[in-house]
Amino acid sequence: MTLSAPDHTPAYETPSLSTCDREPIHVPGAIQPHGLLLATSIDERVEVVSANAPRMLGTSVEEIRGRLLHDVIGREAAAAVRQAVADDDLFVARRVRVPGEGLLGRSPVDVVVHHSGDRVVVELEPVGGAGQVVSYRTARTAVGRLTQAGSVTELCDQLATEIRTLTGFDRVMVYRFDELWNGEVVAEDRRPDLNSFLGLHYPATDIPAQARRLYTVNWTRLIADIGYTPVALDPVLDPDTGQPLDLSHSTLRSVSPIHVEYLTNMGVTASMSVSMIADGQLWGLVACHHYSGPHHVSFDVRSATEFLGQTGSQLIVDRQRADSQLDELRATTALSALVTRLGADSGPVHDAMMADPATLQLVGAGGAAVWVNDRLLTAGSVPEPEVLHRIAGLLRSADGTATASHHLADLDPELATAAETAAGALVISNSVDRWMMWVRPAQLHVVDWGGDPRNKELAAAEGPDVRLSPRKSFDRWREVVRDHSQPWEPWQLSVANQLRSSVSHELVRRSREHAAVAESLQQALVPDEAPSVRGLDLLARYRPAADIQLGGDWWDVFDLPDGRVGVTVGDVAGHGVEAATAMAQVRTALRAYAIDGHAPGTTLDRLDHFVAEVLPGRTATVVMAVVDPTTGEVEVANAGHPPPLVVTAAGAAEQPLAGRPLLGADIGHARTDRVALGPGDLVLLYTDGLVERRGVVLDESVDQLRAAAAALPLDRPLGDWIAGLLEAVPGTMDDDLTLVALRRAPAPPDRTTPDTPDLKDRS
Amino acid sequence: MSSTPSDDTRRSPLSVSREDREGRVVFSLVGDIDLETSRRLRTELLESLPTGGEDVVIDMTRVDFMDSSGLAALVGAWKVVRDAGSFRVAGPNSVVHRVLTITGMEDVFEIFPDVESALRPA
Repeated sequence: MTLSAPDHTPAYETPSLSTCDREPIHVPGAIQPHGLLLATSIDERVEVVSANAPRMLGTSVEEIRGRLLHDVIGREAAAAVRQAVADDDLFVARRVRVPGEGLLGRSPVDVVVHHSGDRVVVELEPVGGAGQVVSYRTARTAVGRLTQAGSVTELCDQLATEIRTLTGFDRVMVYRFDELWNGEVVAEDRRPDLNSFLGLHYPATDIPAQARRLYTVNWTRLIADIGYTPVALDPVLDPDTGQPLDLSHSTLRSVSPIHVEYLTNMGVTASMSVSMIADGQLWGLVACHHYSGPHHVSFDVRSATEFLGQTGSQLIVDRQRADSQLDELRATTALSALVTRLGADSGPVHDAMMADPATLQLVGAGGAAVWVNDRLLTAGSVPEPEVLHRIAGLLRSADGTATASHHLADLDPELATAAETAAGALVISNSVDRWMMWVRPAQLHVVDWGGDPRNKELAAAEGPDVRLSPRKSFDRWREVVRDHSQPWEPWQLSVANQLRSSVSHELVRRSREHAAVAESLQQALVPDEAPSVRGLDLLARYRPAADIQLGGDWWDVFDLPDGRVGVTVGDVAGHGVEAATAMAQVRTALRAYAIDGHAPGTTLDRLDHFVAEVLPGRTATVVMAVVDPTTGEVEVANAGHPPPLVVTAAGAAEQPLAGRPLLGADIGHARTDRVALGPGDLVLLYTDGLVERRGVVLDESVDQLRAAAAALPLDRPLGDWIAGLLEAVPGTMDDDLTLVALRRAPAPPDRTTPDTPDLKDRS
Repeated sequence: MSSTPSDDTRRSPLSVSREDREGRVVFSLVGDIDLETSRRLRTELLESLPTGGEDVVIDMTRVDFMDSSGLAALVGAWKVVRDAGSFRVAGPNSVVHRVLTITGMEDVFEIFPDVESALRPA
């Protein structure tokens, strides 16, 4: 069949494919010849009439313009128009008889009315044409069959079948848009001798943006004869506005010459398309083709088709939503199980999460990664760490909610090289320091285009002045897409968000539990009260770090078999349960060696060996004093710990530094120093939380401490004395802080001082 | 020269890089060595320490702060090489040096004012 594109010049400049997006297709200034269009003023005077009036009514255009509507189409039809306008009951056909010698006078006529600007537009076409005689029953039974379809695919198939039965077109296709407005034929019913278009894709440029806009306002378009000669409106420009009449809502609107050429190239002789709108969105089209000449479809059949299209698209979207809700429900159940397992796991939460296969399954990912506390944890197949960080940066969101892409190369072309493991990613992050990510590999996705879709690129390359014809060939054109992953479903993002918030809750729960454990551990390990020793005044204070982590500090006071008293203050490096557990072991071992009768120096050497053997990787520092309450003689040994301060009436002095390095080095020997305390003299043992501050040389804060200790009156109650010291030298809140003060009698014992507000009184 | 993947893409509180210079393995540390970063320092040192008895230099010229957990990481590294090679700490600032002094590790590690002097033969 050879068809030449009809010679029609629309009321605007000749468009080209590249300007196709801007073609003002709603104001063609012409209609198709199978009906008559009249536009009247408010007072029913005809101002614009289509040039086929002589054929339709047997009256010349000149005779019609300026006359009242009822003089042109008769009283019955004019009354129907008036009624429609009065009731605001537009777009509904009314069946009338029209007088005159023209085509409209020979059979019943459907009249449809709508507004365009200030005009009332009246369109008339003869009843008849192809397709079934439609009744309410026809439509109802068709909808009944649609609702029984078992899947979205079946629903689309059934819809194509129903509409082909109804309209009699040679081919009826359900055509679905993707997110980029490319289309795919997802269902088809056709004359058996035709080849199949099922599964073919058409590029977004085939249906430009302004056509899609029209499709959402005017749901049905019929081209009864592709070879039609457009009928101009007379006048083309509305005398009132100087503009062509807006035909957006017209059923007779003449279509774009490019569209006609496109269909002609496809071999189509008549076509109809019905918008599929669901939730206010253009979901797709029902596209009907005829190849064997003109095919006129009556207004009734078009209305029924439109009704089926709308019902069908809503059913499809509901069905998709139900399917996705089912998937989401399954995922939520799996999520609860995962969260329960994470709660029961004693290891770190993120490690447990990455070790659990459900973490990948939840969102259907091939790999996952977490970056937290400077650690990268991964599961499944993931790209290099650098690539993961880059993706995290690209998909970060201000509020930290899930963000996803199934085509990362769109965001950063270099990421195309990582597509084998990460063509798409779902990221939860709002800072560089923490993120969670799932990745999906590229799918080998085969797209069969209906003709080479590269016209689009060609047009862009040639520039706006080159007119490209619609493609001539619609032969299957296969493209293999390798850099897209399976798209992420909205519910998968929501499940990822839920997992993130569950993990946060779990972390909070654990840190609360930690705080409780810290409390009880401290109570279990560190004595509540220093034993009272005749001749000595003893007071200890412990303050945990601000972040409520367990610290490694301890203090201890114990009686030795020879009547002397052992006092220790120490610090195991690190925080958390492991450090606290190590602390408990070190403290107990120290007691054991001391009670065995070893001198302080030997005790610390043995303890060094103990730490190196029993707690590999740990280090600790400790200072130990053994006091004879009767003589005031003190033996002091130190392993890498800040040296004690001896405070007398003459001032405060630091003990000499350690004779040996810290515990765990497994090297060196401790020295035992001797100090004689006079009555009222004081020894202060403390941990580095008191003097260690970022950006301050230790010596400076030790000087401060020494000055403060020397300035405080030694005869104050010990609790007041320590409070005064802490006021002068507040120490750091980053670390825990321990201090023990022991003072030789005769200063009166102090047991009644109330707690200072920020310290836990352990005396 | 290898480096942590972090330097360019995000703020990192500590970076560790390794370089072989004049027959010694030099680790350059940049940043603070505290509770947050010491775990990684320990891992990176232990993963890339020479085990064949080479001499190690830890360049601390660009370390502003080190706490006891950071020192523990260095002690762990020192214990790996102590029997077969030497362990030198180069360029500690006064804050870091004081920590080494108080903990007695000043006499265990060999301390040098800068990398150049640490690279001279013993």
